Amino acid sequence: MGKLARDVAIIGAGISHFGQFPDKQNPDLWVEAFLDCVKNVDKGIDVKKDVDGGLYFGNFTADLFTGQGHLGPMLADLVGLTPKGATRFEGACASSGLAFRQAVVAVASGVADVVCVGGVEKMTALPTAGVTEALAAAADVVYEARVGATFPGLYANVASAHFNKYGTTSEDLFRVAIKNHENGKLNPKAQMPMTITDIMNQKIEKVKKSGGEVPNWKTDFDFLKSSSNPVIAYPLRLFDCSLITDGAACLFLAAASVAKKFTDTPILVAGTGQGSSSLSLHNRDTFTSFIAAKTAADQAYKMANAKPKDIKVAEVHDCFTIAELVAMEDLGFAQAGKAAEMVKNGETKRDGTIPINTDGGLKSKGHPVGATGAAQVVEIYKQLKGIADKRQVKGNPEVGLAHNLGGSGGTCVVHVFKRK
Amino acid sequence: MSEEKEILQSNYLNFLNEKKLMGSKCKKCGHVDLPPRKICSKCLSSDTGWIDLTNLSGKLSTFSCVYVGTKRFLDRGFDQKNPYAFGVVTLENGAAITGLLQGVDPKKPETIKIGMNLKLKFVEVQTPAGLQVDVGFEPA
Repeated sequence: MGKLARDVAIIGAGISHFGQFPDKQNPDLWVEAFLDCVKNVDKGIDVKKDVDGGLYFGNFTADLFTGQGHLGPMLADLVGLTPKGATRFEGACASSGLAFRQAVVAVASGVADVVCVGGVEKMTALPTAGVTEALAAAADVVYEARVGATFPGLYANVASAHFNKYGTTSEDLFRVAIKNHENGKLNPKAQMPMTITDIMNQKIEKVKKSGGEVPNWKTDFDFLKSSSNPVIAYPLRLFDCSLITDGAACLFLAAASVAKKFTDTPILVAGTGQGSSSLSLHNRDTFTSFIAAKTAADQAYKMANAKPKDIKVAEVHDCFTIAELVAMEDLGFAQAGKAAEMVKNGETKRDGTIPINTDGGLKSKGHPVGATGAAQVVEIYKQLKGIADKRQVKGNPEVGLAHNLGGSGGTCVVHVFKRK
Repeated sequence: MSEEKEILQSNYLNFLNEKKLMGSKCKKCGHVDLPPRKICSKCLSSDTGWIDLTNLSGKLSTFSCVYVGTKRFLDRGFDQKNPYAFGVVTLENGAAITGLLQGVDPKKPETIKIGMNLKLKFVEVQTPAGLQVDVGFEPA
């Protein structure tokens, strides 16, 4: 119990550009990520010959976003993986985290030596109200969405409870957004590769050009407190929300025993964990922590024989700024109610004690929901191999973590990775 | 007799349409589930029956005021100029449910306090399928 039957390693990872691409559909985004991944396998890979285990794929709801179901074989076919098995996994925003975990289990079990893992979501084909409606399908449609729950609204409920219990403030949330945008600026694949200051200055320039009254913003905080950062669901504002994104991610996993054929520096999947809880917030004991995340983290840490303080770089699911703070607490990086203080002290910046969301996170890189879990692992793979370019964390990190949350915490997948 | 109806989501919604908030009560351990469940969430006994929670008072556990809603709420006239509030309300017996908050000012969230006393006030919504009654609360 609680361990893999044999070691599993990542041997390649790739990602599409994240953004709004009117001319790209799910198959196009997926092929872009796949090609990036193949290119990044150090010693090359012969997909037809080497990938014996087929495709494990995450997608939340192409059915609602684009009207297309049955994505597994469709996407496998486009990259030469048919007639091997192709399976789509769904766990809302944790869909490709789930796919990754099942791929790990498949390789560990011995049914396959090498598998392909992916995730994709095309979100921008619908107007915002339609996206909000489709995403609300990840909440309880009858008991929550029918009485007004939206995803920003549910995380706003979490934020209100966190504010009330721990004294967390909107400024604490702003700092998360500011930090993630600072990281995202260094990520050429990010949807919004700009700092909050850049965005503020861009708005000021725009007003100047149009001859309007120039806002008197001196700092990021002035801008974030202004009507240019409108409330979406109190207490969350626009810049507390992640982006609506088209994007895909892809990885190859191999049994550690064959991994050296593909790279001299495979990254070991040291621990995997998964938890669940009721969809509805009202059926939970607390709104300031996610039991699914704590459960998943506990399993992953135990399997990896690691503790929170061992983690040197982490991707956490910042679908909303409050979610990053709660994730830090659920993962044990901070005590309950203390995450905001860590962020304020700069401990989660790239040069801090525990750099978080070095790729810009869901906030700046973007959040194509079904691709996010896989994309997080792509970043940790790069950081642990030391190939994260301008955003590379210093100190040669050896242990990393990815935390992928679905819905308002109904599903969570956590993985711990180690450089061998 | 309400006790004889099977515990199904459709029956819960039918009760709502009669302006009754019905949960389930475990006949083994006494635990109350809301929304109702055939299998008790506490002891997993399937020996459960209906319990009427309509007249219980509640307290606000958490909330949000929504400025950007789903299409269904846009169609009902809610938008950035006309936000609505919803939240989780915990009843005096410990059962909790999500509901729309009425009789509060969503534009003044600082006046909506976690812990404030609330009572049920059902929300009537006209839908293409007819009148629908949803869970709502107002200050007690």
